[in-house]
Amino acid sequence: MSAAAQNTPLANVSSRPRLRLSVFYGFLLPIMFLSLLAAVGIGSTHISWPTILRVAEFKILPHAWTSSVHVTKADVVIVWLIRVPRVIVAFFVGAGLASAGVLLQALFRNPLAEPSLVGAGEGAVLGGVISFVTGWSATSVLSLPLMAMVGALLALFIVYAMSTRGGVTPVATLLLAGVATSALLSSVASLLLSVNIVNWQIAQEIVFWMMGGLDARTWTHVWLCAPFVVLGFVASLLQTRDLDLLQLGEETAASFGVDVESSKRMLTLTAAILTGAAVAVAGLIGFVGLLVPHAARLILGPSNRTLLPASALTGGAFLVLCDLLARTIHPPTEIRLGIVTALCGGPLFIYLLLRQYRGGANG
Amino acid sequence: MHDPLRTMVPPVLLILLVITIAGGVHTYASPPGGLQLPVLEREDGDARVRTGRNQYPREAVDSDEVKVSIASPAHRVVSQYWSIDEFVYSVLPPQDVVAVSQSAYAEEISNVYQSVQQFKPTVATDVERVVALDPDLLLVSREGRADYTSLARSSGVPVYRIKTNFENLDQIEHNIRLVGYLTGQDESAAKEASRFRATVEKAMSLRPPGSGKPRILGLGGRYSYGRKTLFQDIVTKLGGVNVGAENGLVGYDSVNFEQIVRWDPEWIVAGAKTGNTKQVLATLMSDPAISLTQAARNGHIVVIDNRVFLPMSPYTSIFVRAIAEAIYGQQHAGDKL
Amino acid sequence: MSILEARNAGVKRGGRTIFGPASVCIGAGEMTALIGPNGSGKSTLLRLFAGLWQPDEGEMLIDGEAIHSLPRREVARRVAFVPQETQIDFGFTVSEILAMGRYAHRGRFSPQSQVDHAAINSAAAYCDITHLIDRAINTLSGGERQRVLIARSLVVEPEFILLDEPTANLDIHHALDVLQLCESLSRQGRTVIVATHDFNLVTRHVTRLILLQGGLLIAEGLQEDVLAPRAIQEVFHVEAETVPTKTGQPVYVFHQRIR
Repeated sequence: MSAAAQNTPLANVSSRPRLRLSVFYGFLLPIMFLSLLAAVGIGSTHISWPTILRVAEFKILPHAWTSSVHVTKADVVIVWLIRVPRVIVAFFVGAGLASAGVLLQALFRNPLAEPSLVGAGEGAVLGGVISFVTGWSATSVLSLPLMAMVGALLALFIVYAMSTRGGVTPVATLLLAGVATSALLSSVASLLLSVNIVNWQIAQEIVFWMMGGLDARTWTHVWLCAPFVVLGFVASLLQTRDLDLLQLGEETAASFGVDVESSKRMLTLTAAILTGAAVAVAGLIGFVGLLVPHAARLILGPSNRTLLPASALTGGAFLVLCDLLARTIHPPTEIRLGIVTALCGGPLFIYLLLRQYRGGANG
Repeated sequence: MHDPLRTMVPPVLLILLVITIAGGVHTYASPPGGLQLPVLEREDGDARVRTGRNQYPREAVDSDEVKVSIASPAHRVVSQYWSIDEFVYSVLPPQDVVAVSQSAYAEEISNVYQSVQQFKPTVATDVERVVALDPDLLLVSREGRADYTSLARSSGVPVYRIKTNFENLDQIEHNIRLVGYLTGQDESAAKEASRFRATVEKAMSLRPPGSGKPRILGLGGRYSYGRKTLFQDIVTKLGGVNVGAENGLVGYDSVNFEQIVRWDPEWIVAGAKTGNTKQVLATLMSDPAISLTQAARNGHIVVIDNRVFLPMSPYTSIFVRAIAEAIYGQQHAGDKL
Repeated sequence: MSILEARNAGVKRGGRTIFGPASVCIGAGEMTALIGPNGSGKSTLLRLFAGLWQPDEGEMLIDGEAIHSLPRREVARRVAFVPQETQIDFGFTVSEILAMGRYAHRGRFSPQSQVDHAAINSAAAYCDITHLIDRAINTLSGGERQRVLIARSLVVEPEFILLDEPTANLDIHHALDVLQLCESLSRQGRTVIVATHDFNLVTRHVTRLILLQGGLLIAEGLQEDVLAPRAIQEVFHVEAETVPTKTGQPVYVFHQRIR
């Protein structure tokens, strides 16, 4: 795998100029705000914009100022309890997955790296499946996210323990251990699912959850997900210089004073927290962690300090839009979010790859 | 240098952090239910319902240990699960059902298809729509995920988590009365419950006194029914022996056809898609293993439409009657319904 | 007074000693070359000096203190290492690459300071790459890349600069440029150590040579002493003939040994 990585250029092959950061944000920020607004404004029941604004007033402004606001209880519930939390969760999940993708693509020096490579994604899935089959998820809203986070961290621990010898964790070994552990945990989850398949209702819930989805997200999920994503993002931002150096090679990084092993631990841990928090509240969502950092790198260049915030915001906006699509394409059924991201992301990714390889003259 | 203990510290700290945050959320931002663990031996929460009381307000405690208080008869009822659909349509006037599960609209499996086509209730998968309907009561399956329920509850909709998996016919009858109690349709429920009971008793009476106990095997695809299933209860009440339970199966479990040959049932009851009963019968009869059984040799294979093959609702009475008529009545092997 | 010292340093792999034990001292302002055939341990010794590898026996000392007892950042501020592999597949600009060199000088939270800027600009000027400062590194030629990497190590403002095969993939005139750059650095007062197997180029600039073979230090000292024809024959298995040139430095011409 690392031999292939050496032959695969991670960034611009030709000297195509990078987009200026101001231009990029000039495009991204309006799109991001518009998508947030659109996602709150559009849903399976029609609520007019004036009503939404009145609900926002009602909820955000202090009570004394809002005595004359007329909103029905249903409006408040739909906008404030159903739509707004869901959109916020979508944003944080997208941002978290994209950030984890940036970290892992730099760490493994591979453009095909994505958050689930260190086993955290499948660990979270297994935790979730256990929560389903024991029936705990039927009685408690917290059980599923909690088990998923614990699963993600335990999986990381297993992967790390497997690939560390004498305090040194070679990246190639880490990758292999991560892939192997993911496969193992995924098969255990499938085993649990197959054994419980007779219980049709639970099986259906598991399968739907594994395909990713943001149905019935509440403020509880916002508080469960957002702190970890923010924590992970800040931790990543503090490590961008280490990331840049690690991308150039471990020996180079060490020669410039990076504590390579400690950096790798921090990075994989941060990636696991971000991935775990995302899977905990949204199930398995692919492509965001792979596509968004990759596309951002092609546009903005490989410096992680610019790449990280740009990817996070783009990932958030992307997922908000995908979720909007998932809800509105075929009402009243929702298409599973993981499917929408794959259907949107897949072709986009293929297009980017073709463009890069056609433009570059690498042999 | 770096001992394994040091590498263990960060993940452990993080797990503790996760638990702390979860605890914080539980205390300050959690909907009712919190971290409630599932009860292993599930006690029938409905037993605490004080049925038979006709005054309002009524109270009921559901499986989440949430006390639901009902102020008046419900005329806007939402059902979130397919078997609950069948209960509510059996008890309530159809116009009072404002939302149903998606399965109600699937002609192949829905027993209430006509009603939904006529009255076109909303599909209840979307909480937004449910809230917009301003319902009086939302009936949710006990076995479903907690998120939907908690969102509905925090939206102020009255939610009752009701049993949707039954192990005996009495539970179904009790559930009918419970739905009546919850919705204020006590009379209608009582009528439906007695109709249910009467059909079952009539089916039981078809058995000639003093006849032997027919050995019956239930076949749902590649699965059969052992102890602690509704099928077991039905077969026992009809005076038969459940071959699955006889051979140690518990619950709904897979069987392979070789086992069936060894068990050699006298009767086989199988399900089929609407209109497909003849094909399924033919397939079973021609299966090398099944054809060796007594059931196949004597033409004692009963194929029943899937819609009423153990529907976990009042429609189960049709299933009971069909089996009884097949085994004890004039007709034996052949299509039912 | 900056001295890098190896004291009975040895490296083991799988129980076998693959390098050493070797003892040698390299002082300030010297330009030293480590020469020897492939596999002789030049890269190993260089990495030991850089603190990238720890010796399994003996010690590596910088100014009398064991290298691995010092914090990683401090060593990085004093010793710069230029690796052999210059191929960088990413589109980092030259300025970004140079900025990375200031890692050990900057705290985790601090932005780039005036001092950092000054170091970057002067390093770029010294290596004559100021005109390339905004180019992406994967668009540069081999010689330009090598100069950028040397500039990157200069940005560290180190006392010691260690280069691993700096002329290996370069055209002859770029190779000469690089070596001249190294020599001027050593005249500046820094200690430059170059590991190479092309000693004809190196011997023109270097004061001191360390000859290695099979993981052992065979000889060290001035060029005339170390590169006696007999030594060359034993270590490199070729016959060497010294040919005088107009600059005064002799050049070696090699012939196959006639057995």
